[in-house]
Amino acid sequence: MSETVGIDNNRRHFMHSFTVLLGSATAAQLIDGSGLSSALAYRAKEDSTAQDAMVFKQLHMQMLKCICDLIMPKTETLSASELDVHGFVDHQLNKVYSQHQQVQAIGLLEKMTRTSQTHFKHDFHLLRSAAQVEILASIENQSMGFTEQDTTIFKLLKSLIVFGYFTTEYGATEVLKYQAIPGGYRGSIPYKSVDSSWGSLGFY
Amino acid sequence: MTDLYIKNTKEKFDVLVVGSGITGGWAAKEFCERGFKTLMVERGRVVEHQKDYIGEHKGPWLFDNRMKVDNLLTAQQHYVQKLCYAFSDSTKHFFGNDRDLPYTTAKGTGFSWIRANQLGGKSLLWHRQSYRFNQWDFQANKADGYGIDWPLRYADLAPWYDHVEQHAGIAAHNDNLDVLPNSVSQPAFEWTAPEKMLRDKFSSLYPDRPMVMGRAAHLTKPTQLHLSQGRVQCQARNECQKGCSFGAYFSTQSSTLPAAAKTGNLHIAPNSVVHSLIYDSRRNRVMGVRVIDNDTLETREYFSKVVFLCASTLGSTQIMLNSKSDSFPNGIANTSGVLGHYLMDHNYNAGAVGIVEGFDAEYYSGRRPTSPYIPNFQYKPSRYAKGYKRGYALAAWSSREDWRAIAKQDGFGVDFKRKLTQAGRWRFGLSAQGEMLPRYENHVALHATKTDKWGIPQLAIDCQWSDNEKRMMDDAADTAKEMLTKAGLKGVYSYTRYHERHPGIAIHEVGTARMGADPKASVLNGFNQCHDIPNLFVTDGASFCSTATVNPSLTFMAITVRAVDYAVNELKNNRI
Repeated sequence: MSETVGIDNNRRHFMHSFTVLLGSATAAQLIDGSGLSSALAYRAKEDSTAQDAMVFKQLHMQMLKCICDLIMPKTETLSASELDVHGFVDHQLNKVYSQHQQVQAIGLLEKMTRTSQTHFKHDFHLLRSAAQVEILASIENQSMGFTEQDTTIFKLLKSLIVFGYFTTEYGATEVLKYQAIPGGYRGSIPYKSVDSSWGSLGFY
Repeated sequence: MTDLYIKNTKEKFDVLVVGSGITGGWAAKEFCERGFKTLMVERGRVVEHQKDYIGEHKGPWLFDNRMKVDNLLTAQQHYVQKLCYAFSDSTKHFFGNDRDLPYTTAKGTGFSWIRANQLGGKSLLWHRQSYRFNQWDFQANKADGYGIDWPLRYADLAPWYDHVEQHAGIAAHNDNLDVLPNSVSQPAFEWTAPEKMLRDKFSSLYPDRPMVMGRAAHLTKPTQLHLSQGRVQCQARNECQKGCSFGAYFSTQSSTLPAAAKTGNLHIAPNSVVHSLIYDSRRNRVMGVRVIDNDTLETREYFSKVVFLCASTLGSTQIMLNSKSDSFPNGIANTSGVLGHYLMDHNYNAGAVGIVEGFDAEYYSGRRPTSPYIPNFQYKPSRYAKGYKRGYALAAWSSREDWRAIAKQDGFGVDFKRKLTQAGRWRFGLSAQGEMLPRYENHVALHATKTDKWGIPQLAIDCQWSDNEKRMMDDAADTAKEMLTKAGLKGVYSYTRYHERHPGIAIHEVGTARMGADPKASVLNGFNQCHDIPNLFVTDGASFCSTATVNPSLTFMAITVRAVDYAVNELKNNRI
């Protein structure tokens, strides 16, 4: 407890000295980032499943939305789809990942659709969640015809969903603990297993 | 201050300093503080402290792709720069544009040339690790017969290390090790609990391999001097390469530039790409530099009594190779014929990683901008391992796994989501940082036909790892794995990566205009002065005779201020 108080004090002390150096308006602007443009940043959409997206067709977006919430459902914090992580995954694959990876990701969702039809007679996003989980688990343990390559592609999508969640302002600062300016380094502070980890990483 | 930046001038300066990175900043500061009119010639744009750190103070959600770089942009303009660990959407404006900075590599070889062509150069992007060379480093070539002897010894440089450390600010513990001489220091950063455990374990298992806290050019307890420059204590963000408005790590902008500017003796010519040196064969002196404007491609000239080349290892050598005359048809000050040869980098191509069990109730606060370090324990021939020469340091790191690692595990749903939000297992790793031998065959030359957009011949680079470097990394991987296993870590694995990583990517390129006692075998004397031309100095990494294992930047600083001290004396006595 005293650790946290110390850090806060340290930060306040720092804010003061930084303000003296730069003048209060500049200091405040630099520290909260409000003076910087975020016009290009990915913005959550109302409904990313309403139409075809950049990489994925509408059906795949509907599937991706389900996958988001199977991995990160609503609990005391928002679910992944409530943060439009499925929309972000489509954006990120398009902007950052290779065309080959995009094609692989589409291929996996198509294979999941076929598996869903074969085993459960419906499209994936229309299945009950128990059946959906069964399919996802079979990708991870390579059953129901899923291969090692399918697992690899699925892990990429899963990592992107998790990345998309914890790099939103909400995920980084409200679900995890965020230190924009830690105020100094402590090598040892107490940790309880229920505590959140740091959401502030410097580089991502 | 309004006339700090200049473009056209007829003034004859006392000194031209080409480059504004770590080396150029120090040269300019030292000359200015000693009363010499100095012009810093920088090929890139102006980067103003604080104002131009546009990636700073922004959470990932404020970036287009959450701090990842657009794939199209990377493919077209940053296909080499992207290999640097610090390249991200928040730092990319401080890296060169590969499309405009072409070079060639010999068939079957590769070289990753990381560029930072702006005011401040790579001082904005560096990793800030700061270690002195030790007594054996300066004698390594002589001791095993590989490469020429350094024309200076540790005692020659020690007072100059003191000098630069006081100003720069180095967070370092006084470890009292001959192999890692103490620095004039600020308090070191703290250890994590598993690191302390492993430090103690290693000291009983391997008494000759002490693990110390990595020394870094950060202010942990700023002095009055630092505070007067507007520099404050490190806030442990570890986002340094975005630029630091606190001035907490050493850069040209935070440290040497304000000191130089304060004297009133400094001018800066930005956007000035040096094409070549202007040489007066009658007097055997350089008179100045020919410059091509970075943007308009117009030409202009600057003149001075002395020229310090601080344009980076390959930058300085490229300028010299392109400065041809009847007296020096193969590049200025190159009667030895070794200009361009003996290119080296550090060999960062092996390591091991494992899981530390326990310590579940331990965590850390803040992001430490350094990590523990085991200095080279094979620092003289009697301690060499079998099968190769020289040695390596081991850079250590530890952290608790977070959502990035946990996302790769199997699982879904409420329990998995909770796990993602919590701190995971402790991981600890050792990464080898090895020497690379000086070899004549590893060299750069001007390309016969290809030029860049400024009409300057491109560098043709021919550089590769020798068997010595490969055997060293094979051994380092085995050694690191053994150390972690004996210390009780679980799931230990090791790796080598010299097959896929070319030289250059340690960004410690040195050599190509080496110092030496013999003018027939070296370009520079022991004071970084050209044997052939008394008023031309090269004080960046080009001057190195060997790499040692420690990060080179602190030594760039120390040899530069020593060379300035020498040049000032020569100027005062009218010898140059």
